[in-house]
Order: sequence, then C-alpha cells, then structure tokens
Amino acid sequence: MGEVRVEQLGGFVGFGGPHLKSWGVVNLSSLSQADRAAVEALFQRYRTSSTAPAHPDQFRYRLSRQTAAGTETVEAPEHEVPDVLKASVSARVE
Amino acid sequence: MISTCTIVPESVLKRFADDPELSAELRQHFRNALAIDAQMRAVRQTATQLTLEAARVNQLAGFAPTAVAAAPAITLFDCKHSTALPGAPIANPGSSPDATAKRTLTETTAVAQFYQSLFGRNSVDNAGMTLMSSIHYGVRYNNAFWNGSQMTYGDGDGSVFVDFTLGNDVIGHELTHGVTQHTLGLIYANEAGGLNESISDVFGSMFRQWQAHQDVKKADWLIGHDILGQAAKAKGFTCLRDMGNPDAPHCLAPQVKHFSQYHGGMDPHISSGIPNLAFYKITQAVGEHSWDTVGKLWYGVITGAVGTVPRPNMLMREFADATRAAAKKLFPANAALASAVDAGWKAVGL
Repeated sequence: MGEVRVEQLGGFVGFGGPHLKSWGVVNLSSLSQADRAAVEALFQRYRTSSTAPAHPDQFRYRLSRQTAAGTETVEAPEHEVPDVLKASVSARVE
Repeated sequence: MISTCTIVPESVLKRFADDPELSAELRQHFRNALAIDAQMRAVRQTATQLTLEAARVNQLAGFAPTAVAAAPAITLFDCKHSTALPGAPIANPGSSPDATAKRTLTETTAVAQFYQSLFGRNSVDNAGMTLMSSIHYGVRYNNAFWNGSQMTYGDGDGSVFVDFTLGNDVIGHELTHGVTQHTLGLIYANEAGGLNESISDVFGSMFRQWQAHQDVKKADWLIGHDILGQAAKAKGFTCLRDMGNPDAPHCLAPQVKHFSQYHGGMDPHISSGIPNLAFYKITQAVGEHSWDTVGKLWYGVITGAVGTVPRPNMLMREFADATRAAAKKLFPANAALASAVDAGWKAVGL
C-alpha cells in the first residue's frame, strides 16, 4: 500500500530550512480507512495548487508518496492534515 | 437534527462525510456541516475585510474607535495537550501552580502595557479587546501562533525546543500579529507575508528590549533565544533568527538579507530577514532605544498615522517608502534620521 512522507513546514520557528527539519513516515496500511481517504483527498485537492497558512505562524505539511509516475508531492494547511500524520513528525537539528 | 458546531475541524467533518461505515443519512449531515462551515469561513473573511474597511473609513473621517475597556482583560485557557481551542479556562492564573500560566499572564499583560505606554495603543485592536491565550496546546507542539482572535502556545518537544512561553519576544511577536491584523491587514504570503512576519519580529524584539531596559547597542537582536532546547544549543545555535545578521551560522532558521534574494512564494519567516535587517541598521545609525524614534516610525506606518492606506498585498518597497515619508512627516527637523532610514533600506536593496 505504500508510505507517505510527512514534512512539517513553517511555524514560528521556520521548519524546512537548512538546519531545522521536522518529518516522519507513515505506512498507509496502518491508517484507518477514513484517514486513508483523507490523505487521498489531500493529494487530489492540492495536486495543482497549494494554499498559504490561514493564520500567521501556522504549519504547512508537505506530503510525498511514490506512484507509478514517480514522486507525487502536495502541500496542505495544518488544519486539514489528519492528526495521525501530524503526530508522526519529529524535529531534528541538522 | 444534527447541530452544526464550527469548533469541529474541517478535516474531521470531511473524514466522517466520507466514512462508508456511517449511514448515508449521517454522512449527509456531515456534508451539510461542511457546507455551512465553508460559508462561516467566508463570512469570517468578509468580516475581516469589513473590519478593515470600517477602520479605514473611520480613520479618514477622523473618528476614534470606541473602547470596550480602558485596558484589555487578560484571559488564559489550558488546552491540556489537546488541540481544541480555547481550552479550559484558568481561574486566577496569577496564583496558579502552573508556571506557564503565571508567566503567560505576566508577559501578555506586559505587552499590553508596552503598547499602551509607548504608543498609546489599547490592546491589539486599540479598543481594549480582551487578550486570550491558550497554553499546553497539542502534544510536544513546537509552535506558537495567532489564529485571528487569540494566541496559542505549545510546550515544545523538550529537545529542540522548550516551552514557547519562555520567550518574551515570542509573546510580543504573536500579539503583534493581532496588531497587524487590525491595522495594515497584511496577507500571509509573498512580500506582504514577509512584512507581516518582520513587523512581529520588530515589535517582539522591541518589547524584549523595553523589558530589559536595553538601548539598541546593548540589545542582542536575537529572536527565539529563550526557547531553544539542548539539541539546538549543543550544535552551536543561539537563536532562531538574528535581526542584525539574518544569515549568520548561529541562526537555526537563517534568512535572506537582501531584496535581490527574494522570490515570490518565499516563506514569510525567510523573507522577513530583509525588513528585519533594515530596521536593525536604521536603529544602529540612530542610536538610543529602538522605540524612541525608529519604533515610532514603524508604528506610524502600520497604523496609518502618517497616511499609509492598508493594503493586504503591500510590497516591501511600498513599506520602505512609507517609512521614508514617515521620517520626514513625524520628525521634519531631523535630517539625520531621514538619511539613516534611506540608507538602511538601500542597504537591503530597497
């Protein structure tokens, strides 16, 4: 069923820069059917566009998965990403 | 009949609307809630636009906003590691055994006093709006944010970041997003987003300097110094951002520092390095305290006191030129100030 890489971006601290990362990997088979549907909906909704955070210092989440056509990546606002994906990330200093 | 409650996140409503294990009738109720939720968001956006337009019209007519209170009430809520806002109200936070609650009350009150005593501003809306803060948001949440009506603080993961209320510049930064919302109304994207972020760093740092009684030479101009955890400090990082040296190696989140480096869609926390550095350079040239003169220019521009018209998509050059005009209007006899403002912006390519 595959995996989704979840990367947390922005926020007050500015995740996503050269030194500060926050990411995790989720096995899709471990998700509930509803969460899998929500993830698929995000890839559909943000395939051709992204959206700025609704409020200052909110996070964005970059989701990536492998498809037959290659890597597919979308960015979604914090409030639309399922909690189980958001809980998968951990911060790293590089 | 299902009652619609906008406190339920949109993602949850969508999940239930698509859940095949629920009855068709129940799924339709969630779709109805989603439709109403979308309309509520549109109404909220329109309300923001109406607020800005009303403020603009009042300003042009010379009307002052009616204050609901002489000074803002400060209220605190405990999310207890959930993400439901605002959380459980904290009675008497000043005597709470929770140090986070006490500190948030103290610092939020101080930010309100900062704006009142230095700029004559009564709360974020200049009308005594209650300042609400929610603490212990989420689990090991590495963030703080203003959501349009309140502040929210996470506890940090304890490794890279600690409790976000430990940074008084963080608290000043977040509250200032509320001020920007009620003044320039800058969107959070492109150049306007960078300006939005910079204004919060500027006034957040200014608040920190004011509390410490520091002039511009004594101040360290670091953002986020007090919220770094051991994992960050152990690698030699001393701050998130440095207003005086945006791309320095000790910055955990380095920024660009010249307009030639800017591109559309850049994260506002990166592009804010440009106006941050301009503010720093101007204050270094002028001296004294950051709020004495240069801070007054910035405040005059964002509140329209010097004729700035709120434009949500404001460009950095427009803001720079507004501060140049403000220097001549507010301090007409101070040629050195006008020169410093011009030089500060030219140094960053504006």
